[in-house]
Amino acid sequence: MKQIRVSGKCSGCGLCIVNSSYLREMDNGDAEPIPGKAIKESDLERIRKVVSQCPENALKIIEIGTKKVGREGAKEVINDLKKKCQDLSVKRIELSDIKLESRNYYIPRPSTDKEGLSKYSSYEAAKSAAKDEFNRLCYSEYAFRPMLKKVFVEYKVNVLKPFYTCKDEEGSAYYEYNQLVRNYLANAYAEICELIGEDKIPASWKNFSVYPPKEDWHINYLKNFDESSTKSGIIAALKNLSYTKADDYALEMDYDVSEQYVGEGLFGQSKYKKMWCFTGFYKAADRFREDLKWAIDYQSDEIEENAASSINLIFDTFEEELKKAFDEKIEKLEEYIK
Amino acid sequence: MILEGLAVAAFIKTCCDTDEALTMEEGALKKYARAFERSEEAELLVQKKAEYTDKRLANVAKKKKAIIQNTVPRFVEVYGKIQRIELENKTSVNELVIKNNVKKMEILSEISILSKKDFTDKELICGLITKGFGGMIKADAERYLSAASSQMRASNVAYSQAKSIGEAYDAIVGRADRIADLLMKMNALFIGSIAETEKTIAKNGLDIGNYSEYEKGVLMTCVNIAAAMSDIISIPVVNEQGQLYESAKEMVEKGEQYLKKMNQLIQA
Repeated sequence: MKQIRVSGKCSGCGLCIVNSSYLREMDNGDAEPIPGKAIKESDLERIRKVVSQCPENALKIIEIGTKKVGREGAKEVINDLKKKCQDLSVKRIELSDIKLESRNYYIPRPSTDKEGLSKYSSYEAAKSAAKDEFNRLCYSEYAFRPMLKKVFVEYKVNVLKPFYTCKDEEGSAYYEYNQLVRNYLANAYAEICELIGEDKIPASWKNFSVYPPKEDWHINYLKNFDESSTKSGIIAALKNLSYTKADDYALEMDYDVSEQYVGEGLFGQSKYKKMWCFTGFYKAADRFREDLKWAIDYQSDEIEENAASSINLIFDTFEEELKKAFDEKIEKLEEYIK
Repeated sequence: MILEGLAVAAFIKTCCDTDEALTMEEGALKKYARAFERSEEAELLVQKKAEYTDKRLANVAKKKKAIIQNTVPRFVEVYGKIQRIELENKTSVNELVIKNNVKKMEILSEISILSKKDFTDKELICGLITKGFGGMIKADAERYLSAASSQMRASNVAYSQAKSIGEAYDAIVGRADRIADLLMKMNALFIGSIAETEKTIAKNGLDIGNYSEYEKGVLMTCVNIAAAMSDIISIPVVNEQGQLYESAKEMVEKGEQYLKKMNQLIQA
């Protein structure tokens, strides 16, 4: 079976695509052979001309597949398919493929409108108010959960999405394997048609699509991966540190005192009262964010391991299903050419 | 889906800065996560669209480069011979064609001289080749950059403008593909015509008396196609601000009509 091979020298001029129906344009403009399209004898002279016209000498007509003819050739094509099916394997992922690194995520800094308000009667009262405010905006569960949630949602969408996308589209981790098998089938189909005639195998035999079921437990686990944000151990790691009590953060802030006019005394003299305020909330909030990021990185191995083990379990089942479906195609093909 | 997500994102972004978002309860947290996820997905899709647009713009640049570096030098050589036929024979076979297209031929000659210099993708996409070669050589720096997408990315357009982002990318890709298709087909036509002209000149030499009317037509057609090619190479996709050139639409339509006419003539 003859096909056109396009080398890496292709400059994407498109001349061959205009002049031949055996090639198509990739997204980047370079030419690629259409899988499963064998050059017909009647087109060979024209295709030779197309090849010779390539300004980069990037095209070549190659002979692929069996040298045998008729049913003997078809059998060899089937044997080759069987070997490909046997060798087919889904590459398992490593932790480094799904890294969770805090530096890739932005955690918004909370701010308070109570900062700088001189309304506390003592240093202790100002400090207590500062701590309450810090607790409300950073340290309490209601405050840090949305922060972690944001990181986990971003991680899920940007890193894990290909593994829970079960649609036949490029963004899915399973797509490339489907494409690989489709190419095998398309080439085998073209070759067998050439060997024993076009009417023996229905064109629909080339169709192939195997994806993990959407209802798979592990697929759903990945799809809802952000739900594990609160059980990830990040906050425990943070709070286990010796300098991360709410009091420690409150101490980072500044406390100022000023005298406030409160009216006139009994004999007409002005009366003043000492009032306290807290400032520098942003410093404490910033340190909290940094500590939170540290805790995320500290726990990242465990988080990645949870995701990776689910992904690899999905891959185990997917590989089995992929091979099974491929096998079924080969069996069907054997029936067709009997 | 993208637009819905992006609209939600605008809302979330606002929420994010407020205390309310930071002190939410379970139900609200789930809602927040869902909406934030949709916005993240929308952002991812927009990013993919931007990458695809980059590729399609680079494709236009590839097609133009191929014509400039391979086809134009071949034409310039043939064109030199056509001129010699005219000069040696005072009868001006191609006078009309050459007179009418003298400026365009000059542009092609200049492109041929400059074909050794690497045109940047930006120059090819923004169509600066008609705006003076001198300036172009000076402004050599910005490579591998599609004006459109860099503009989109650099300006970090607000989520609320998601609709226009999506539409802008689609429009740019649509225009880029149309121009690339036209360039590809015109190049094929041009190469065919140059080959035919080379053959005709090789057969008849420089004496006009040896040429039949049909063969004179072959020569004229080649010069005609070259003139059209000069216009088509110069069609910009976007300007430096990443906006579509409105006038380019008309130029593309003209080019497509020309191509159609030429193909009809060839088939006839």
